[in-house]
Amino acid sequence: QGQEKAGDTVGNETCITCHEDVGKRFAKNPHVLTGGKKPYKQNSAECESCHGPGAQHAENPTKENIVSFKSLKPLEASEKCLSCHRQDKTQIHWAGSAHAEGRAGCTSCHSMHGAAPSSKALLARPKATELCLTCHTNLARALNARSRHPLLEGKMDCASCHNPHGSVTESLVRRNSVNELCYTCHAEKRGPHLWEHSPVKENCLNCHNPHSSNFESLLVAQTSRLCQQCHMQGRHQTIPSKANEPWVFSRACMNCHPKIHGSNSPSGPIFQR
Amino acid sequence: QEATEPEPTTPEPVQTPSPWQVDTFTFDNNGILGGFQFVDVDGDSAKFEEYRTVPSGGFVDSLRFADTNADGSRMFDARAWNVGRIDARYTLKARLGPVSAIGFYDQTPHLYSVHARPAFSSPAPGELRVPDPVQAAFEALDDTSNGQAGADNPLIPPLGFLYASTFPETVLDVQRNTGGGAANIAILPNWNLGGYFSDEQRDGTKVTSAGSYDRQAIGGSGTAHTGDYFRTPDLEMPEPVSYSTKLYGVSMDFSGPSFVVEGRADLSTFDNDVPYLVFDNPFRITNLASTAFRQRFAEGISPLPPDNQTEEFTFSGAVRLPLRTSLSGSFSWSNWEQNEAFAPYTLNSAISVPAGFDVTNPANLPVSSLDGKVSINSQNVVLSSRPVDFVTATARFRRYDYDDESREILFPGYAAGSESSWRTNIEGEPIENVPKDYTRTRWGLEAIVRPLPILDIDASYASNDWDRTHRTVNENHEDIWTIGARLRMARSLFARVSYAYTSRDASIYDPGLEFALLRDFDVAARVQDTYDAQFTWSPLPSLTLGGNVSYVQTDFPESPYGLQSNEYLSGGLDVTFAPLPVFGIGAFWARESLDEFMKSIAKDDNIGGTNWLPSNAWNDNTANVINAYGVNMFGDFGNGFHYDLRYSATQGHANFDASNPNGLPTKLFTAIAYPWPEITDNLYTLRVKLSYAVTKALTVGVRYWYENFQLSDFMTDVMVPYMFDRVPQDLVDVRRAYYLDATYGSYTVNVGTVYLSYVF
Repeated sequence: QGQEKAGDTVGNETCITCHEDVGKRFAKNPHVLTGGKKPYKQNSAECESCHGPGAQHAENPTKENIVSFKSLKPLEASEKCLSCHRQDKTQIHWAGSAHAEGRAGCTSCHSMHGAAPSSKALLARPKATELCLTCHTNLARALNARSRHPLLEGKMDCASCHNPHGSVTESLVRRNSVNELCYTCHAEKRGPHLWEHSPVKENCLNCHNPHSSNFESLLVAQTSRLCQQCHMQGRHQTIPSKANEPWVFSRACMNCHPKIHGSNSPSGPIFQR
Repeated sequence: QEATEPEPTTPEPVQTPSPWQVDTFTFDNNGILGGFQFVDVDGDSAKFEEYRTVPSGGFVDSLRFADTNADGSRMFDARAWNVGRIDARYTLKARLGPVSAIGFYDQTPHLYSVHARPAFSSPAPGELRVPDPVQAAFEALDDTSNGQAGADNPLIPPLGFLYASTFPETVLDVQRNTGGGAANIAILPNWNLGGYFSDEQRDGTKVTSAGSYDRQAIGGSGTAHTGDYFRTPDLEMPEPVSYSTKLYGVSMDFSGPSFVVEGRADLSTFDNDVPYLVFDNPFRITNLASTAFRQRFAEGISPLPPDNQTEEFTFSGAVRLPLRTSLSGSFSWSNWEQNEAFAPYTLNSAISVPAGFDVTNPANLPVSSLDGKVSINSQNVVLSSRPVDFVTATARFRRYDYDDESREILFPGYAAGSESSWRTNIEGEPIENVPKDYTRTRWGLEAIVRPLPILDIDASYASNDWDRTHRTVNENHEDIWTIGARLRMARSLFARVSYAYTSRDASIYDPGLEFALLRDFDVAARVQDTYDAQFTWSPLPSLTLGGNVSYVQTDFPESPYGLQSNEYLSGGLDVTFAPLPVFGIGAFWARESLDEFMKSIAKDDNIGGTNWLPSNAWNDNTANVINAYGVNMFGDFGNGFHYDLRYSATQGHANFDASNPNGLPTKLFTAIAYPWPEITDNLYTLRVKLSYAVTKALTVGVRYWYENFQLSDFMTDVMVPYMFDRVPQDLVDVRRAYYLDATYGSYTVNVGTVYLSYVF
């Protein structure tokens, strides 16, 4: 089980004799609609390209006599897929990545036969966000939080920021750094600016939680408390304040220091202009 | 030969929708879904339509038209969502022989407010003017005859409210429209040439703020000085947004049986059509030159995000070596540039500066622009090997070098205190920008051992080093040790646990102008324990349970002040049960909490010889929680009737608990820690859908959607357009401010929909 069985191939027609439903659905599968490419040994997508020679199974149709992906562990299933897809540039960073080596496998997310025809990349769920949340269930809290990105509206999904096939950055972030990723959509904050705010320039996540927040602008904490964690230079930065004071309500510290992402004003060394 | 394949006659596998599931629809085949809806919004529609538009009337929700030949060498796939609306999306995929391409046009609104009350008009982009009578009226309210900003004049608050109430309600929003495309050409077997382009336009207005500093000492100087009061510290404005971001890229990849390599070049440009914001100060019609007060401005200037661009070149590849070994790597070089012309120091001619020096003339700047340049080099290599079935070993190396090569500029001074005075140093330091660099180097080793076919055990070590310039800590070293185990019983049960211990050291602390005992949390020494667990279990083919939890405890042992510790917990559970193809139920629960503990000490401004008195110490505990849960059910009544019910709730709250650990301060009243109100935000959503399949192609349905959002946030609830307040804490401290009143609020929405879908 899981290993290809020695013996002859029998061809699709024989398989479809019993697996009629799968065969019909597979006619519109990307593995068939390859655009004229012939990446298979048999020149066309055959059931046995993935499931191995089927003669034994045809004679004695048990799971043990065929490569059944339902029985394979993710690591083994992925090896089958990678035998072809290793040449795909999207898999360059797969080896050693967070989902590789059996943590998850290709068939954990992709359904070769069961995916909805409209789904992108044969995902096992209609939408990428739904799929990711089947394992990352904790992130279901993020979709309806007070402050969030527009995932519910379908304008983004988890794969907008994360590459599930591996990346060079932690947390499978798609770019070389978290900040470079954020600047893809927020290029106005990229700079370089005349006056830079070091924690901002080094990591957006010092102040923002990209998944969800109880505070505006995906901040990890109430604005003035967040600033006070690192600033005690002047007197007004150090007072605990009542709730109805201008350095607490509205934009808090940013009421007067609005250019906190960096200023290009000659009068902006403390981000007031 | 064109394909005329019949559509599948067999049903698709059962997909149990989750309660939070995105309620957008995509046809698996050609079709159209549209209808008519009635929308009733009670409350703040801006929050309800923050990233979408839900209008009453007719709509086309989803449209698809696609065709392909038998082998897919000729195909097209046109799709549209929210047709004709400002949150629409259109895509077109096509393939013709070796050429495949995709084009898209996406519209995303970001609605900030539908009831902002700006005092400003905008005669030209980047120019905000307040009518002279309004400025004069507000200025007249600034009764300084007793030095307390009209605190004793009972007419002032009502008059201010009256003026502000005459400003017309305005919508503040930014519309993001992006169009683009990508193409790939198989130029030779195993050679692909690709390219992409996108053009994003953002237009509209969002909220920005500016201080209009005005401060006086209370009690005089020296030991008599007990605090300060501020009169006009806050000002909100509608900031114009007119951004254009363009992305271009080309790539070439080549692959063989055991390798793939790719080279690519990317260019990103950002252009802002409005470089500066010039604005009237609603509280002043004339500049005020004074020696007793700061020189308040009548007209301010604030630069908006500068034009910039980046170029990046990346070379990546992976090769399969013997013994099931993979070597992969990525090397990139990028350059960032920004050279927007500087604005003048200020437009406030009342500021006292050396004779003959005009601060309003940009020609008096030492240079006209930054000539900003950043170069980034990134190198990443991963070697992973599984020489035998029961062992996998992985080694990683990563280096990210951010080098800011921008010009260093020494300024003679700057318009400080929000353009109210000229300052030639900051606590004795010259006014000079200092470009900051950093390099992060990370390497690690990981081993996975599989002692049993169902069990994986892994252990890893990673080293993280930061090397920075001009930070409070320039060098950090971090060790990360991780152990974990995974259990997998065929496909029915998967469980994973892991623990990570992280220890970060810091080199010498140099707080600079900050309090010597303060430590910035992002560079301070820290110890972190991370526990993770996850499981999925399918005891029956129709029943799936899943869950995960992550707990992170972080301490900053070398931080006398600043963030001391935090605890992060994030977890979730999900259950789906679909015993029949025509019936399923599901439920989920998820939670995130972050508890933070910080220490600070109210600065006493050198009164009595020290700034930092233990009696002025205060601590804060913030507990921040998001809790979400929901249930859903779907099924068939038979005879073509289908139902789908979903309910979900998301409840967030933040609690603040500040205290004085050494007792109530008796000397410095601003050191007294007061409790803050709780912030709460709750969203309840109910969706009910009933449909009837008239024919195999035609379905009609009705949908009811209820949404209730409740927001209580002291940070925004207290705001009104004109604020004038005697602060109880100070008794003599009187402030006034002008706000747009563009805050989000609560709402209740009922949406009724009649729809029809037709598959053709």
